[in-house]
Amino acid sequence: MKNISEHILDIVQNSIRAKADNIEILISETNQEINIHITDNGMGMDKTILQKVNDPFFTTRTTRKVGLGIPLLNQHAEQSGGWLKIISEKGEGTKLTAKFLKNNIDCLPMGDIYTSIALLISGNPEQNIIFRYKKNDKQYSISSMEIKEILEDIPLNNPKVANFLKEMIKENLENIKVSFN
Amino acid sequence: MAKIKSLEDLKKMREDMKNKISLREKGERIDNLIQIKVSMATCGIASGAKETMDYMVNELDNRAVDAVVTQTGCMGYCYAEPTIEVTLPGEEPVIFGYVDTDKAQEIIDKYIIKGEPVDGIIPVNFKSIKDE
Repeated sequence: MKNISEHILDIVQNSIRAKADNIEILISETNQEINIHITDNGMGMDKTILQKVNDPFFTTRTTRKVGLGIPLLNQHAEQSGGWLKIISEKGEGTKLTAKFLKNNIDCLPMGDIYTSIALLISGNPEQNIIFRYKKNDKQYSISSMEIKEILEDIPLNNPKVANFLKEMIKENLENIKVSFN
Repeated sequence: MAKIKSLEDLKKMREDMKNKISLREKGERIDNLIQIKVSMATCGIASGAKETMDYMVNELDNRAVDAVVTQTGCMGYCYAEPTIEVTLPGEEPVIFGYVDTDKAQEIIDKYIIKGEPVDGIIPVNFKSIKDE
């Protein structure tokens, strides 16, 4: 994972696998830190599973024997002086928070978050994805639901729609002075 | 400063697209579409699946290919990531491995547009004569 935007793309796949249909991605950025909150209404995890999520050799998948998504995010958050916290209860969904300290030289860059979000929204038409970016006192938000209402019978996963979303999210984030590097 | 794109612009784009689509036959639309699934788990993303998906979306849009691109989880071919599954209308799904942007270009040019076979298929759902 080269940047924070790739981690977000990755972590949201966990929510989708947990059968969530509502996934909220909130990024709040100040001059010192970047906080990522991902909240879903999926199946959640019980205590025994929750204790093991940071173990790279634990996964619920049967297609492979390692699960690196959470351990890598944890490592990257901690190497910047931040942390990762996951709150979850079986049947209640999951809330993940990751804190990155921007002034640390080991902090990952944000990367092209607009591509991640556009691909998430258009690539997962069954889920409602809510994205909000707060930068100091300004913010931008968009959700799958709003887009679907406008598109009506045109599929969300049409390449033209995906490209439009990418451009729109990029321009709006630049407008609130989000830096991608 | 140029105007920032908003949902209003999406509405306009939708009107344009709708006119084009209604010219074609409607009916069972999803079966007539080319379906592409990009494997987007940790293994895929670490190998560049995001760039691959972004590139394919761009190319398909530029060439106005009637396709839908969705994400899927790990298919178990972590060694061959990024992997994509392409389903042409009326055909069996085909899984390609090691799909970087060059490979993606080749798959679009040859397999998706011309229907010609392309190297790099992961043999998963083939049937042998005995199965029949």
